Amino acid sequence: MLHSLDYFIKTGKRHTNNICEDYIICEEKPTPHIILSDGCSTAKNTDTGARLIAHIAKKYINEFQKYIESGEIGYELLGKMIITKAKKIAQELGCGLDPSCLNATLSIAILLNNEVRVYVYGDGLIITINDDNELEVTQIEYSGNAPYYLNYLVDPVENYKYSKKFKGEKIITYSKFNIKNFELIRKKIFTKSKFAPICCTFSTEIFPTVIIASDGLDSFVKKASTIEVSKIELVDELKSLISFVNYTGEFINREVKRAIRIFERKSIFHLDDLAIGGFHFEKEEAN
Amino acid sequence: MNVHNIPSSTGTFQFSAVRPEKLGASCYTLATIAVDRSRSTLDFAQALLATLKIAIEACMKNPMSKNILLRVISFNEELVEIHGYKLLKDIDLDNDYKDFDPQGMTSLRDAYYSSIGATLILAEDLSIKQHYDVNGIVFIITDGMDNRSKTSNAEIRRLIETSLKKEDLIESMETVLIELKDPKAIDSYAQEVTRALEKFKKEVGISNFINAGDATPKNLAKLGQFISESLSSTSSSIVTGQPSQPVTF
Repeated sequence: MLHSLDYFIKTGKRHTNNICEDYIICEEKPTPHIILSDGCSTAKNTDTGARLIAHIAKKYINEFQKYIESGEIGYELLGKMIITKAKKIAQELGCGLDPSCLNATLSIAILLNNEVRVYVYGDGLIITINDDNELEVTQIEYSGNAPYYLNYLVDPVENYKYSKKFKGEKIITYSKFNIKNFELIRKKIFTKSKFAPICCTFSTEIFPTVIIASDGLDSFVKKASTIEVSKIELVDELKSLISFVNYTGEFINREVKRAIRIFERKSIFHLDDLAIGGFHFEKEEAN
Repeated sequence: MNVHNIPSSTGTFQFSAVRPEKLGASCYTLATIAVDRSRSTLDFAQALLATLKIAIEACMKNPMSKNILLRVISFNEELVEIHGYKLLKDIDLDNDYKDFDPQGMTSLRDAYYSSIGATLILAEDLSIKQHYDVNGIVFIITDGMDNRSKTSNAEIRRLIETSLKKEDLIESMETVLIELKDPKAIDSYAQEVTRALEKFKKEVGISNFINAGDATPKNLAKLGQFISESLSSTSSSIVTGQPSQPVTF
């Protein structure tokens, strides 16, 4: 059964205007779900676009949960439905929003019966802890650090610009660690076409903790001086960020806030906006 | 509730607190109100209790109320825990607070030691062991100087110094000593009490001393409002990460 559903969001150091271009929705009804969108920093008003995409995703999850669950609305169709509607609404607003404002990633994690289904459009991370106390991290990135956004599917101009400039390969890094000592058990890196669906299902029996995060999670750097900046390895961030000791209520907020505070004391900051949301399930006690 | 011990050189104080598994938020204000119920409070004890209840009721309506854990104790020569650290929503104003029945002497230092000790021990449990963010606020309300405590000022200072050396134990801790005067007390005695309390404040490092004046209905109402606003400001600070706003009496 669902024990906790929680999220954390914070603007990255790079965004000096303090506008967070990540957006996250985390709600229990009608079925527990987390929707995360990360706007593209080079697109104007991308914070608005990210919010719009996330809210339309929420609307469709609410309306079409039955069809999503059965697979009648699959990864590709759901993505197209969301972005088509977002584009239409952005135009109808009539306030001159540039179509590129919808250049934003979208990750959805939704509880359907006893499984969490995760869809990732663009880049991001899926993190799970299984009942053998193994931490599994799937990081989705793109060659040239240029995610192929859903918006490109419905905007021929943006699609053309992207295809001209980037190869658009998905690079997926899967790592498995022992959560007690963060010893690497297995690591695999593979590439896929930019259109390849990222859709995973996690049984809540096997995976009591399922988390999705924006790529801000992998943007921590140590600033030794104004010019000397070194990247922190993702695994070293995770050691602090997800060292859960208590899964009650705001379990993500608690750990991430604390970790960031400790990092800041060591001059370690996340440059990019960070959004992270997760479910934790506990087995029902037998009567 | 979990029961914790606060060791001291003269014995052990105890306090109780809700179990961490029941705490869903990411941050909490650990608030303590210690109220004098020595013999000299007889004439205004009922009004003081009513003030306390009104202040707590006001806090319950605050949006940050889910981030406050409140412990209330009363003291004469003995300390009585009216209730341990509880979420405000779990406080039953009608049944948790019995009439004070004022009698006996004033063990002010013991009450302060217990209040600070409980705050720091629970802070360690919640912040270091369970990763919650916590801050603390302690109100001690008295009409007289200490004449019964076993704890010394030096021991209080030691407790605070030792605890605050621990990194990440507590974001901030504010202590407020509030003097209420018995309206019937003669002026020279009242002045002597004020001097003694100011000295106590300095010696144990209390952050704020408030002379609330005579325990009249008007002053008690002000006191209730002050406690409620201070609690709200402290909890707002831990939730937002911003410094708490100073509240004036």
